[in-house]
This record gives sequence, structure tokens and C-alpha cells, in this order.
Amino acid sequence: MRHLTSHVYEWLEQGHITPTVANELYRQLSVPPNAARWRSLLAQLLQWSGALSFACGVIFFFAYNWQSLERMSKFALIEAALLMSLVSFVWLYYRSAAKRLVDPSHSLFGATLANAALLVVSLLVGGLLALVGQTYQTGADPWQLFAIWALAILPFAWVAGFDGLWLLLVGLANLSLGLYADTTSLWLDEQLWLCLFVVLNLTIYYGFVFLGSSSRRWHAPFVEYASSLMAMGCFTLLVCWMIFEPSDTKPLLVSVWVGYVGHLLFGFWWFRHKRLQVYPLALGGFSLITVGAALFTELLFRDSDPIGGFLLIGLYIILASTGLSAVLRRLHRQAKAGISPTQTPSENEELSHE
Amino acid sequence: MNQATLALSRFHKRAIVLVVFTTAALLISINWRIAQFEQLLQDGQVVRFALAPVDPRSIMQGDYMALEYAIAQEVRAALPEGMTQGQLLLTLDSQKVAHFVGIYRDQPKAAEQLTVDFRLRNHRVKLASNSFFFEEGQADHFSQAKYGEFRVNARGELLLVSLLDEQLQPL
Repeated sequence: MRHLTSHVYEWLEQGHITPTVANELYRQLSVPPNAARWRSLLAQLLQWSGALSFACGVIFFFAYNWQSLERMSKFALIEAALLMSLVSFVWLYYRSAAKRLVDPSHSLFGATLANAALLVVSLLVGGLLALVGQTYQTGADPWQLFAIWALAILPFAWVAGFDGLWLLLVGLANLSLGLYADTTSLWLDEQLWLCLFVVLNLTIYYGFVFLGSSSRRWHAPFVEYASSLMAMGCFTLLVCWMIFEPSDTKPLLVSVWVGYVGHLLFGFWWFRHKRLQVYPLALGGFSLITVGAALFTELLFRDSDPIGGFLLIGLYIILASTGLSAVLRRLHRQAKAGISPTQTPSENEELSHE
Repeated sequence: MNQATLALSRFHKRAIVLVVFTTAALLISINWRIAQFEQLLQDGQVVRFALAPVDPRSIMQGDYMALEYAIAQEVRAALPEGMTQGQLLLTLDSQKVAHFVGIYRDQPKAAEQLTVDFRLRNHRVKLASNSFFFEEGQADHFSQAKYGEFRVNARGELLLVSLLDEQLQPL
């Protein structure tokens, strides 16, 4: 249906049809949502707002009643909430697993009701860990809290195969690495830390890209967007930094440049020719423009006058970005036209386990 | 409940078992830690550290105050380059106030000496946490604190229990 919609838009843009005809087309072709679909949409919305309200409610309850609650009753309350969410997860998962026996197209991965309960469980685990730390003031480093939290919810994310939970996990991993770097910054130099962020996020990204193409469990587009943005951002920053201040450790310098060029080439080949995707191409392209601008700056300003140089660099950035945008637009259209819109990963894995 | 719901596939059964097992393991280990902390607060040896004046701009930060200990100066002086955590060797006087002996490195210690964990973070010596939390609006009351009272166990783990005034009376 989305495929058709974009076609109709194109016809409309190119003046092949009038808006009246387009409206008529929609009325004739589209299936109006029936009562069941409305009900399921409303149910989904209510489920999610209910789950999130519950998690927020627990947190606000604690914040408001902090002084009037005994230590033990705080722990008891949050643990009771956790157990309640666990029980509702088990019940909901059981129910939808049973539904799957009747209707094999029903998936247990993704934004299902059971996974909403599991997300609440995961958030409450973090809440409980933070509550213990806050109550006893053990002086543990903050990165430890986030690292333990991330490890604790790893099995949940694996079971759920759900974007939101993976995103929480990836966010926690990054946060705890960042805080750890902050605590022990004396040991490694900052460029090396940036390098570690690049490696972490690239590993996560390619892991999800390759596993996600064969299994629903690892299909998490938001994680892919976020981790590739983070990886490419750090990589670009690192490379620009190395242009202006080359690292004293030669192996690091060489491996960063080789890694950067290699990653761009591989990404271009993979996402342009193997599996056309515009977002990673855009990230790579804009990163390349930034690095190019940094190189230009370094070369120009080493000795000569700045005014002409600024003009040149400004011109370069404008031209390169415009060119890249044009190419990306063309590719985007090609991607929409070329591939059938219902290209979702199969459920092979889940089936093969049964 | 119909027939179908009774016979889940092994895959889904395992998923449920994994989630339940993980949650149970988490709750057991967290509650075990809580029990350990409670025991420390109840049975740990009492140690008091004299407080040092802190930069007045940073001492009161909303509902908690930043603490700096008098022995921090000596600890920093004795600390070898690059060491960020370890244990302090201390002696207690008759009022259970701690005095710094040295950095503990598994050397034999006298009967009256004890060891406590410390960390060096942002050039500050931390004994457990260096913050004391209190109810909103009690800043004036707690600003007269002269000592922090801790409980420490045989392994050197310690927790802050309360703040004391000049006469070693809890605030």
C-alpha cells in the first residue's frame, strides 16, 4: 500500500493526475480500516502508554515519598512492582505463544504486549540497582551501575528481540563506557577512547545489520540508526582530530586511517551494490565531506592567507553537500522503486527452533 | 484455557524460563547485597572521620552536602603516582576517631589497627561516597557537622551512618 502511495504522489508531482483524481484513486483502492483494526491500534496505544505510565509512576512515587518511606519498604515496593511486571510478561508471552501455534504469522518479537512488560521489568531492574546505590551510598563508580544494568537486561533483550529494549541496552553500554573513560582517563589517551567508541558501535551496528537480515530477533532499525550515527560521528571526529593533531603512536594513527578508509569502501560496496540503503550511504558521504573539509583546512592554513581559504572551503562544503544530496535523492527513489516494500526478515530462526 | 495454550513449543518455554531465571537470580543477588549492607550498618566497627572544611560554594548542593575528610591531605601526600583505589591503614583513638597510618599493602597490622577501602576520584579521596543526603531545608542543621560516623567490616568495606557535632553527638 505504501508503495502505491508513493507512486500516486509521484504522478501527482509530475502532473500526470490532478488532486481530485488522486483522492478518487485513494477512495477506490484503499481499504478503510475496519473495527478490528481500530481496536487493535487503540489497544496497542493504550498498552504502551499504560506500560510507560506505570514505570514513570513508580519512579515519581519514590521521588515524592522519599522521606516518608522506610528503607525496607522502598525495596519491597519496587521489587513487588518488578515481580508484578514479570508475572504479566509470563502470562502475556504464554498467551501470544499459544496464539502463534494457531497462527504462525503471529510474531513474538518486536513491539508486542509481552515485550512492553519486559521493557518495564528492565527499567525497574535499573531502578532497583540505583535505589540500592542511593540508599547505602557505597561510593561505587557510576559506570558500574550502568554496566551491571546492561548485563542484567541482556537476556531480556535477547528474548524480546525488540527495538526499544536493544536500544536501551546499547545506550547503557555506551554510557557505561563513557563514564568508565571519565573515571580512568589517566590511563589511556583520549584519541584511543574515541577509537574504542568507534569499535564498540561499529561492532554493534554490523552485528545487527548481518544478524538482522536473517532473523526477526535481531531486526532493530532504530538500533542500527543510532549505533551507526554514533560510530560514524566518533569516527569522523577522531579522523579530523588526527588531521590537526596526529597521534604520537604510529600504529594507532595508521590503523585509524586504514580502518576509516576500509570502512567507507566496504560500506559503499555493501550498501550501494549488495543491499541498497540510503541512510548508511548518507552518513558515510557526509562524514567524507567533513573529513575533506578538515584536510583542506589543514593544507591551506599551514602557511597562506585565511580569507581566500575560507571562501574555498565554504564553496567546497556547499558544492559537495549539494552533490551528495542529489545523488542520495536519486538512490532513494531507486531504492523505493526497485525493492518490494514488504521485505522483512524471515522468521526462520524461530521456526527452526520449534 | 484451551488445548493449544497447554502445549507451548520448547523454544518459547525456554524463553520464559530464561526470563524468570534471570529475574530470580537478579533479585536474589540484590537482596543478598542489601542484607550484607544492613549487617554492616548494624554490626560493623564504628569509625569516625574528622571533616575538613570544603569550598563553601560546593558544600551545599540542594539536598545533600559534599564531605571532605581531614585525613585526605595526608592520604594524598602518601599516595604513589597512578594509584586510584586501595585500602588505608588506620588507628582509632579513645573516641573512635581515625588517624592515618599509611597506605595498606598487605603488611602485617597491629591488633588495634584497621583497614578501610578508599578511591581517588577527580583528585578527591573518597571514603564510600562523599555525599550526605538529608531532607530538604535542613542544610543549616547539618552544616555544623564536625565528624562523619562510619561502620566498617573486616574486609574494609564501609558505609556512612551519620554526621556528628563537636561533642560527637549525632545531628
